[in-house]
Amino acid sequence: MSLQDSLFAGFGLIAVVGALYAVITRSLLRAIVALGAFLTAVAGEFYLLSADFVAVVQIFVYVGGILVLMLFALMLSASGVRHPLAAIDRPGLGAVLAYAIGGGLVWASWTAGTFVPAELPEDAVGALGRALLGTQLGPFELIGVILLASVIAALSIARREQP
Amino acid sequence: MSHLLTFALGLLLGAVAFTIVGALTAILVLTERKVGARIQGRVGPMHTGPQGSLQTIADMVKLVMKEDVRPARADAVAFGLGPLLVAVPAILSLAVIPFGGPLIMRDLNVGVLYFLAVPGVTVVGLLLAGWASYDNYSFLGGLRSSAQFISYEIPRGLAVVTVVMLAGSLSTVDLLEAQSRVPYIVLLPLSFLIYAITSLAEVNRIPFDIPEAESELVAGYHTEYSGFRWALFFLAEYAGLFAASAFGALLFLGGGNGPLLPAVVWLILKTSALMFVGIWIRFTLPRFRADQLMRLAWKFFLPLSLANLVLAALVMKAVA
Repeated sequence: MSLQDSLFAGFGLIAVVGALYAVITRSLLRAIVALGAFLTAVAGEFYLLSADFVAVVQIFVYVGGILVLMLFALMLSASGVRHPLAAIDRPGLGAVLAYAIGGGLVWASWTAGTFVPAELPEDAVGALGRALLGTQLGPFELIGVILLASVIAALSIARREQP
Repeated sequence: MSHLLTFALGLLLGAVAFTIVGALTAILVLTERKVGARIQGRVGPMHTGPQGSLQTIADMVKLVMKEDVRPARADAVAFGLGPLLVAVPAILSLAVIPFGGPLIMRDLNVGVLYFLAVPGVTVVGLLLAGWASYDNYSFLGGLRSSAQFISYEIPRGLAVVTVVMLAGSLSTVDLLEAQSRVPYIVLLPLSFLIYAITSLAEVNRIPFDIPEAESELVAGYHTEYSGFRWALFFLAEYAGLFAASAFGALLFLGGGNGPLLPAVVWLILKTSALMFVGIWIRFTLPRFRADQLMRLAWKFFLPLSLANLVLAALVMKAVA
């Protein structure tokens, strides 16, 4: 096994353990921290697969953004110490859904074969940027509209609570 | 077995980086105390070593040997994890700074983005530390720090984008080459100002240090910390100041470019100049209020940096 393979396996192990712990633990705070470990490990996998840009964006958006937002929400809501899984009223349906999605993902990655780091094209980031503002401009702008809508929604909810 | 060796070498490099950052912190704290004393017409520490030069070394030894106190109701895991998550990203962010020639840990092709992304993880640490301490002051400090960081991250990032547009690359080494003739402070003075001011906010320095404002929050997120864990917060603050200054020197002052002297000396000179301005500001300006701080970020810096971005793009288009 090469260094890359063992690092890939190590990050994979961290990701799996982090993801499992996030679902199993009763403490919402610990679940979020475990999710952070999972997200960071996935960034490591991206880096090992020569996707530097995706790896850094994973840290930027998910660990530095989404995770902080989750912690923020947890800390601002007084009741939020219990894990949301403890509050599910139809666990059977949830289990079926979870197994279906999980099984589908396993099947998809099984049939996709083994991982091979892609040859990095010259100026990969530039190509990505041109694609986002060229052929993919429509979806890119749509995401912007969705984000704007969610900001406006958040503002209106926040404003309603004021006397 | 060679890859085990590579792995061990990586660990060793990490230890070396941590040691260098520790030494750097000792020097910076002493400089800050001495410069601050001069600004306020005092002499600063004088008793330990010649001219008080060994004061911070003595302080560090004291900190490491102190008892590690943990509040009885604190969350043990998060309480321990908090300082680590603050200190490690601050040190990691130094990995993409080119000190000249082979003195760069990794020339990532997304180095600039890396530098903006990795220090963001410290917010997770600050929030955890504040929450885990089970103390109102710590908790408020943690919340304030994250709100502040997220707000100032946006104008700071937009200021850096103008540099990236001009250089046409996200690699820190390419940035150096692009500035071999004219440093970007000449072409993008407004971006430099936005970067410098928002960076002070990002590393929680006065006048933006409301997360640890001692007049209202005792010591903010690190109220309940002592000994080595407290030292880690301090280490992170000075590593952050160094990293932000070194990156400012790299983005706007041409980094290691300069005549006669080797690149590493130039970079350290420019970084020191920026850090000196940071210390100078600390002993000159009073602290902002929390609402003033937010208003400044969202109602002044965000529109300004957006306008700066559009202006830079238009000028580039006109010149090209």
